Amino acid sequence: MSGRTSTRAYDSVYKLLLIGDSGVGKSCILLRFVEDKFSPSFITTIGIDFKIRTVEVDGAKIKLQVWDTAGQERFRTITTAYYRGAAGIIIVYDVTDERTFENVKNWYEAINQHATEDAQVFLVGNKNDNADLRAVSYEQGEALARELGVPFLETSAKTNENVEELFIKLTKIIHDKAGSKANADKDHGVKVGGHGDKTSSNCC
Amino acid sequence: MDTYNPDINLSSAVLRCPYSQCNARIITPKCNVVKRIETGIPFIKVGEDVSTDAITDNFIIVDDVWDFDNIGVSKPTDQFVESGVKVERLIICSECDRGPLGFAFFDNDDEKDVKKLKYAVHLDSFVYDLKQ
Repeated sequence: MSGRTSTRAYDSVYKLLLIGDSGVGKSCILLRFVEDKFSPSFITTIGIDFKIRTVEVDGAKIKLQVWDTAGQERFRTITTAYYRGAAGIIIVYDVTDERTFENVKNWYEAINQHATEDAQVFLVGNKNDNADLRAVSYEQGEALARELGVPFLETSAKTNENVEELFIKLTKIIHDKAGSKANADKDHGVKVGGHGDKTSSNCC
Repeated sequence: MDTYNPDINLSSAVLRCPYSQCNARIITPKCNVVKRIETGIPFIKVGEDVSTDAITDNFIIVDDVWDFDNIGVSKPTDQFVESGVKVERLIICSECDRGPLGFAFFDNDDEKDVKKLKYAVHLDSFVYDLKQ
């Protein structure tokens, strides 16, 4: 973040993280419909590190930077650096794999250990398009979310069901929280100028 | 929607994803400075859903990733080492995942900090929305 923020034509920026066991579909939430669409093989092979997405919530233009873990979860080596500055953390489990659901609490503990206190956690059961293989019920997911005191959704990165809704809901919660704070923490939603501020030039 | 031509005032245009079913808003550049860079990367072209081997070399450089409205940034790659510039990552549309629309690089070869990446936006890979 530099002093150039005053020239920017959006209201807030938030860093969001996807965490959870390997294989639960975190990368698919970030890189959608990989199997259906054109995507040059070298991009799918390389993988996506992060995405910037602009969404509008309650009339505010908000930029999200969404990060995927680079596979470090296999070795449980996600460092404090990864969590730094995160306003929202999405814990993903696979509804067809009970083990990944049982690990949600471990991920939640890791967040408590590494992330800042006011990072908003969101629980997501992914792969709900596969009814035959379902091993964790919607009710189980909902109950765990209630126990942890976090919002919950089931998604299918394959059919794109609820993926958009997940980002909008999480952004709205974060944005409402930031708005209710008198002075928003810099890492969690700094106000960076208003709408229609595009006329100022900042040539490269 | 227009395709790229040198007369377009880039800083008053919205560069959109070239895929007709998507056309997501990618960026309004802050400057009009066009640079030629030879890369050998098969960038996606307007009117095609596949990338081709035909290479065009016109780019604008974006210093700050937050200038993009929507963008996907790949993990580091060393697949394009023969280029005149060290291609660190590829960029794609964050809505439909098509691309590459350009690439990211470091000014300094020893740099590893992702915040210091600069972005070369391939001008022939976009449609241009000039109604501002």
